[in-house]
Amino acid sequence: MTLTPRIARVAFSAALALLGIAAAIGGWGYGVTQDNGQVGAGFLPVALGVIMALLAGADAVMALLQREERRAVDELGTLGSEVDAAAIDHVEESPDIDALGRSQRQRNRMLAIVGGMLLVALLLVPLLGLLLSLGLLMLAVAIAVERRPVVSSVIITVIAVGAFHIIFGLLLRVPLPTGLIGFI
Amino acid sequence: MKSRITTAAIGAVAIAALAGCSSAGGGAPAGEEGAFEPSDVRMTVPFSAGGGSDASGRAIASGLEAATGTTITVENREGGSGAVGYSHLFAQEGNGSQLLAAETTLLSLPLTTDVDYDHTSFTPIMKLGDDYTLVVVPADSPFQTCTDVVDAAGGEGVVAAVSGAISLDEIVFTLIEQDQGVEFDRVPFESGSEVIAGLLGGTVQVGSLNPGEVLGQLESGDLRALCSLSEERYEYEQIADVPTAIEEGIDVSFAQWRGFIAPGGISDEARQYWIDAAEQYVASEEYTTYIEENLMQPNAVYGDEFVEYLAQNSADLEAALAP
Amino acid sequence: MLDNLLLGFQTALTLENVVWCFVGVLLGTVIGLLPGLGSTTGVAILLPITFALEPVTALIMLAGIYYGAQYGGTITSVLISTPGEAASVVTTIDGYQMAKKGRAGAALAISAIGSFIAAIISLALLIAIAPPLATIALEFQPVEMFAVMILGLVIVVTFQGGAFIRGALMAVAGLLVATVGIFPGTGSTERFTFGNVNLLSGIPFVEVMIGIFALGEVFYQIRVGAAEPIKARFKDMVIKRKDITDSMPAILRGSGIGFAFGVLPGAGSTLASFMSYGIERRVSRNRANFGKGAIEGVASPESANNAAANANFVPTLSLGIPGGATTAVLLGAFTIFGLQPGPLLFESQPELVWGLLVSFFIGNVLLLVLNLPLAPVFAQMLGIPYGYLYPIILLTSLVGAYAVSNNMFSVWLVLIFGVLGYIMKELDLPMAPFVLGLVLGPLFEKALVQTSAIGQGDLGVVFTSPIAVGVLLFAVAMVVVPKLIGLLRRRRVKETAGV
Repeated sequence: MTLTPRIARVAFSAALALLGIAAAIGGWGYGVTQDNGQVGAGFLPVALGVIMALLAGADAVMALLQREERRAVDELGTLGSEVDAAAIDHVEESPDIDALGRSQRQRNRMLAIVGGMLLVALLLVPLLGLLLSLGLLMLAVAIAVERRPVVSSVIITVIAVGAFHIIFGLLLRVPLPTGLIGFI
Repeated sequence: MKSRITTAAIGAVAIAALAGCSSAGGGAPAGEEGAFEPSDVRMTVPFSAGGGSDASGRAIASGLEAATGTTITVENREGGSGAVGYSHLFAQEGNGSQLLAAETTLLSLPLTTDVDYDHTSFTPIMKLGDDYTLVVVPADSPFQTCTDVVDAAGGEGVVAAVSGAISLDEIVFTLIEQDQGVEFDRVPFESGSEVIAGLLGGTVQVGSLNPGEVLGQLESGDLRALCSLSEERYEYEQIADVPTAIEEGIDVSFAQWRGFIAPGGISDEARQYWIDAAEQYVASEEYTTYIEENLMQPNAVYGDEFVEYLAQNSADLEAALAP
Repeated sequence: MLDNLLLGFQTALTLENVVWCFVGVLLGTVIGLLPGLGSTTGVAILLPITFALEPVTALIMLAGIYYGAQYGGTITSVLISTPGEAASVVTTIDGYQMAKKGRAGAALAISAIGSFIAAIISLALLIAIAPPLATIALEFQPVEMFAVMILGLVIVVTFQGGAFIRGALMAVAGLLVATVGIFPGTGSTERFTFGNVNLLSGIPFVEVMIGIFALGEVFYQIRVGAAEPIKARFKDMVIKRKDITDSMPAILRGSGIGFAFGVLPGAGSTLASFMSYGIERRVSRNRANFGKGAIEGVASPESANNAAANANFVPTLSLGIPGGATTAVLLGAFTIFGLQPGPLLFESQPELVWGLLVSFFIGNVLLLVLNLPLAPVFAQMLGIPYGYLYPIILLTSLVGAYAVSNNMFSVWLVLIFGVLGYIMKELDLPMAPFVLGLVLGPLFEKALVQTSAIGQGDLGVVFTSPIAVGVLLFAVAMVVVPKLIGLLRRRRVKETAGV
């Protein structure tokens, strides 16, 4: 729980900077110009990679020096929106309770669970087919995560899956993968 | 449900009729004809909906539907300049109910990019026909013949439009270069219509386009066709007076073909089933309409003949693409 | 000229054509509501069902699908922050903020009204000056398009105003992602594909859009937690007269900008929509509220993309060169109906051309009639608690993603970019520049490669074209002038304060 927004931002920008450098190196290998002197396959990757590394580096440094930066900004009065955004961030960071009485920690866990379920559902597609596994995902999220009543969740899921089967599968003839079961 | 039964019934009748036909023709043994029964037939189009490949895929599919009575679902699996669609079919080895609307990228992609398949990985069924290109220039161009173009390319230089490095027009310009010992400057475009815009706007001096793509501008007089890169002159009246390059002493003709293939390793019965269906389609009016609307050459070939054609075409391509 | 208009109305106003136009608009709206299916796919998928109709009727219906789908995409942009196509990415910025404030009804209504006014303006322009415009459009060759793309990049980079570095960073990241795939200059160099055939033609922006906007928002909302459902009284849902008068300048400017960009072959509605937003954000009287739910921020791109969609027909009909992806599919449909697209179309098929043009007008009337009453109803959907809504959004986006190219790879891409979108939201990084960079990237690189080929390696040829130089000067002005004005204003404030 030490991941403050500032550290996260620095880390993300640093990652982007590294990505930019990697892209520039990869692009160099493709050749910046062609044999005839015209723009080559590596031209944009190198140029954009370098620019991205510079911008991301600048952003990381700015995030690190945020306090000084903000004072300077206030003098110019142009970056008002950023200050607003930062203020909003603060509100979100406080351990508030949402409309359904769930704490931040609970919600973080919910997010992890939904993400995990999503991954499992996609891995199950070759077995169950697309609509069936995504339908199960929908049901699982509604019942296990959102704690909706079982009966109404099942009804909504069946209607949604049915509607999609009709629209995509039958009307638009999209070849939705049916998996090993081969059901819908 | 009811309609499905009717289609199945029509299908059965059609297949019976088909079996009758081909045994009368004396080709395949009639007894084995019923051994292959297609189910859930898919026609993959390796390009997005709306393009030339899509049109030919849908035309073939509906022609085969009429010939066999089965329902054929057309699926667009675009991506990787066609590689995604071909790779999909490659993974369906042995499945006689999978088809793909193929064209020249079947041969050119394995030559230029790193894909797992080549044309021998599949079962070629039918070549629908050939599409040649015309060498076109803007109406006010000083060039009157293809020889003029070649001479200028050997002299002050000519800027030619190509739509991609493995495209048909890149290949034909390379063949002209190899044949005549000249060199063109190139500006790459991404489609035939972009090339037309480039010609009309004066960015490029010469382009090579399928007649079907450029007929509108030829008829309006905005563009002129100098020569056709085909073995013989076109019979379509709109372009019948365009000489071939060969007549002008440029020994270049190159066809883009369209057709359909099935996955590798399918049974002989399945292969024969689709060849028979394709022959029926070619005899139909739908086929003639498609070919004429696109100003193509109706030289269909099937099965083994198509395999030979592909081998020859691939060798030609390799020669043209070799640096 | 009036004869032509009359002929157009006679053709388009038959009962049969109006009915099929309505069917097209309705089907298009439904298609546009489904993520992954935009106007291009919509027209292509529904093409076969029009084969039984007369060519004129079929084309009128297909055109109806075209702008119907655009409007459907707007609905999802506003309601669940998921743009149906690239042209409505910009709409999400202020549209979704409006929805969060309970003003979704007004946002949807103003885009219907804006589209309608844009349609009238562009119809008038089409009828009056389509052929001369087509000649001007031809002046925009690769070198000039290179300058236009630079202008586009300038607008994207400075798009989000204030946080310049972050906006630029995201735009550059989008451009960099766009370099994945085969290099257009040679057609054979594979870049960053890691041997995966699915990446050969690059990372498709539709999947990225679904991931970043739809999935990213779902993840973010889960973590932020359930808010009270947006409860708006029906009265608030209906658009007010003041909203319309406030938006009028934005609509008019948007229509003009949209039409201008729509005429250029290949530039298309996306460029038009964000150019228009970018300019509006600088000149609007209400510019301080842009990004926080300004109604002008919805009116401007929505009228621009509709005007552009109509203007796309200038090169399509008068030159036979498609103005964008959807008109390319429509042009393909012409051939199927045995019509030869090309410069002679106006003369050889006057009934068809003018009937089609007038049908845009009728289609937009139908769209307006359909959507003004429906806008508040759609907006009421936001009254559903998010906990019910997001499982459905998950299902819709992932199935929609699959339908884009019938490939599981797209679904995985959506998941990856969903995670990325979530991170961007958490870090308050602007998402629109990223997507616009991704959309613009291939166009920019194509123009770059072509310009370099024309100059035989020397990009300086761009300065030999007066039009290109003019566009570049405009790009410089877009950056410098607002800064100068700001500086002057501040000085004046200081002076008055000093006195």
